[in-house]
Amino acid sequence: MSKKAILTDTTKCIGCNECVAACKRANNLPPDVPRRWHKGDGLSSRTWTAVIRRPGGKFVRKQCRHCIEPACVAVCPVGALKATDDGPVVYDQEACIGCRYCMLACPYGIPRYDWDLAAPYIEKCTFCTTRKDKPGIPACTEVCPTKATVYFEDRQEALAEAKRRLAANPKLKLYGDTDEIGGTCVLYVSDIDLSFLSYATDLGSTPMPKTIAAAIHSTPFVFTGVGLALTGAAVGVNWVVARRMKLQAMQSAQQEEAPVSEESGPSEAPEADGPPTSSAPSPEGQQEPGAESEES
Amino acid sequence: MGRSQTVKVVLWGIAGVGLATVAHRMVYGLGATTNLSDPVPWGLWKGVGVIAGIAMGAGGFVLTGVIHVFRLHRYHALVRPAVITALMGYGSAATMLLFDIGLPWRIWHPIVYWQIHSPLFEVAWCVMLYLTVLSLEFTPIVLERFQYWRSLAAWMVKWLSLPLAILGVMISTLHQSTLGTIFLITPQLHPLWYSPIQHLLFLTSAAGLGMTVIMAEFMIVPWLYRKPADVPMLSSLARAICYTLWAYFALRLIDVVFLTGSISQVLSGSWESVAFVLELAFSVLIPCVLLLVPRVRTTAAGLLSCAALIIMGFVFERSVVSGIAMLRASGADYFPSWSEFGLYGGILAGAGLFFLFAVEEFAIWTPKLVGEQLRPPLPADTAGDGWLQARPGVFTSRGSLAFVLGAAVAVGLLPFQSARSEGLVRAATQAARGEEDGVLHIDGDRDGFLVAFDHGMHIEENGGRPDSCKRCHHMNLPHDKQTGCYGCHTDMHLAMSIFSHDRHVASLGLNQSCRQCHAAGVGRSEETAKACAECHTPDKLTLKVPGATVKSDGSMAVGYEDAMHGLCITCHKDVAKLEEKAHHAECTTCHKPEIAGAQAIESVLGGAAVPR
Repeated sequence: MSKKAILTDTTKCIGCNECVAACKRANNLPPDVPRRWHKGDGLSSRTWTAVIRRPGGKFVRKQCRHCIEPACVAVCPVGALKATDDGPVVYDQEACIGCRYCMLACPYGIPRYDWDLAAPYIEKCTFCTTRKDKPGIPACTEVCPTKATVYFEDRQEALAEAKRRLAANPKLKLYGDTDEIGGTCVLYVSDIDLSFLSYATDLGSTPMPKTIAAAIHSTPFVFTGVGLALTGAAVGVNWVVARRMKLQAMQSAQQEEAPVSEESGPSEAPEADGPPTSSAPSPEGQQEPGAESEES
Repeated sequence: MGRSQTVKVVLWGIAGVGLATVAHRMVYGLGATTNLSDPVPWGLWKGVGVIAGIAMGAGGFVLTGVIHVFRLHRYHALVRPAVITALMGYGSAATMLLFDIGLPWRIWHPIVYWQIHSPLFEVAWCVMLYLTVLSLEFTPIVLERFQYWRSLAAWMVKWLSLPLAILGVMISTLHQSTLGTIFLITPQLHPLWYSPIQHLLFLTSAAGLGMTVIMAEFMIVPWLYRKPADVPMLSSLARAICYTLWAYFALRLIDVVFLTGSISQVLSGSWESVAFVLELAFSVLIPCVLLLVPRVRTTAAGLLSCAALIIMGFVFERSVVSGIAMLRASGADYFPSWSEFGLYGGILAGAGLFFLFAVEEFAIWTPKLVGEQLRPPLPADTAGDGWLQARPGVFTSRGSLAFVLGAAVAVGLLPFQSARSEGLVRAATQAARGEEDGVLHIDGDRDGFLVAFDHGMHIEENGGRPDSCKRCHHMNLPHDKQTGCYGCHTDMHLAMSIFSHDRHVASLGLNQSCRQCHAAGVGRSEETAKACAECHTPDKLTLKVPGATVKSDGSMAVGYEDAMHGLCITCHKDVAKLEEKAHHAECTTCHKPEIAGAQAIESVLGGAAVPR
């Protein structure tokens, strides 16, 4: 299914804040006041998009990037955040428990929190999927007087348009293509460096969920592996101890006849230097916990 | 009071502080209780309370696993204390998480809402399962107390100990490492800690830290009850800890030298590099080298000092990974509020009290620390009096006093300012917009003291809806920001007017001057006075608004449209020239062609400021 997209051109933005106002209207967001917990980039739980003024009279609109493979979706323990097939990353506040892992994992620092409420939720741009009058059409793109931020029904078209602009002006750079953490549905064409929008200056091309995938998906193997290894060890130790006791019993029974040769024979004997009655503590204390740490 | 009782009184006091902060957090939310913020969403509670707390409980699975599987009967005395320590560690971490998440009543959600790709989902499940395992391991300890259940307890010890120990290791291996996996997806973490093998580092360090906590416990608890510590056994435990920590150290070196190559950062002199060196020195280098010295290894004081270093080092390491090392990238500051410390301390104190209760009540320590002769069976008629203490009398009242005192002090200290400003901002504003006579409570300078602002009266005095709105919901402050009160009320003692009577009186000759404006024989009021224009020529009355096209008639300021056009357009033109953005000076930048009049203003104001 084709993805929706928003293309924002920072060379066209005049910083009029129309998009911010439209976002507030469309999503019925309450008025904002400066609070201690705001980040200072204009976004907050009540302001989902903001225009940031950059040196040289440049304006950059910040909003959720709607990643194609989002970190926030991968880390949410209850699946409250979901990436829809047509692009928007949406939030189900009925499932959310408020662990705020999405806020930590988002490389752009987008999700915000209702810190002032006793029943707080995560707040972020929804791509206007929850908008009442025209669901799915981002209100911010409707009002832009300079067409600096434009809505595309197909992300490929947006990319094509962006590349056309890039070809016309060699100073421009495209942000949000697949070389940026697997691609985002909110694309930027810019003549200034936009790395200030993300935590790391270079996020790389690997989608964020891939960084934890190997560790998480090995879970069942680690679980059964550790279980089998420990059960094996327990059975082995049990067998060795039992054999040791049996040998001791035989040894004491046949003490006069041939005591030596049988005891040193079995190869497992050196490991089992800890029979229950043994009083040799130090080698035992050294070996076994050491063996454990290798195992775990 | 004995040592243990002094400690218990202190713990009850801290628990009281905790209770007050819990109430505060539940009523006013996280913003009022913590210093967390949008750029720093995880703080003391998650980093130290949950993530370090779970690591500190790791001694349970390591020791029960090793002792049961390898039949190390010499160390059997460690098993039950390890189980109860793990129970306390995990229990306090789970309680901490309960209050840390925004919606505590939904903590069960991971059971129903599955998201198997999330590290936190796995941690949530594993912690739930391991708490179940620990409870099953703890059950026979409780059952033994009751004659009727004793045979069941013996059966459980004989047949369930080994499988439960193995299950515990299986589950714990997963979640102790997954706690590290959490930080594989946070690129804002400083390179010295943003490691691709963070999960292995967390697992090995948790094993070492968990055993260290048990070792410390085996010196502190006998000290509390004035019994000798089993130092020879602890020395061999210390040796096992050293091996684990050296393994961790090796992994850590491999990581920073070969895997991430961030070792060069150590010499950068940034505070992160200092933290890295301190952390490794405290958690591994100093204690493990000290433990090579026989005098340190074979004395309780030496072992305890090393244990303290290791515990401090790793708690520091966990808090660095889960937040401190992200501060530079997120560009924010964070230091926990005292109520964060209060709630965390309260939960730890609760766990400590439960621990001491269990140690005194059940056969956890062998030999038992509190002799039977000290605790005669309670008479039946006092059984309900002091169940938390299990010993009514003087001590109970001291504990209760400390608890109430702690809670009272905390309530007195709670940051009422932040608590009070919650809700007022939103609720009162909404109310004022809904009704004509709404009164807003405004804390303009955020000093905690509110001004009762009569919104309805202001609407009326300024000409009613909708025309008056724009007088204060100013167009040069975009959207929902308002003009401050001082914008109109320049003089607290005069009515709002641009006419300054005092100034006229002073400049015209004080008491001799009344007749110059007010006619003789009629009451002196504004109505009967001369019109301004009789003295002032029109150009002198024009307010100094650049570009205004309509002149003031003398008693009124220029209309806001004109004032705003004057304020906006000149600057827009400047910007359009300077920054080569012609759009800036075009009418349609602000006014849409399809809408006009009041709607045009509304579209500029963003709708949020103009009530519909």
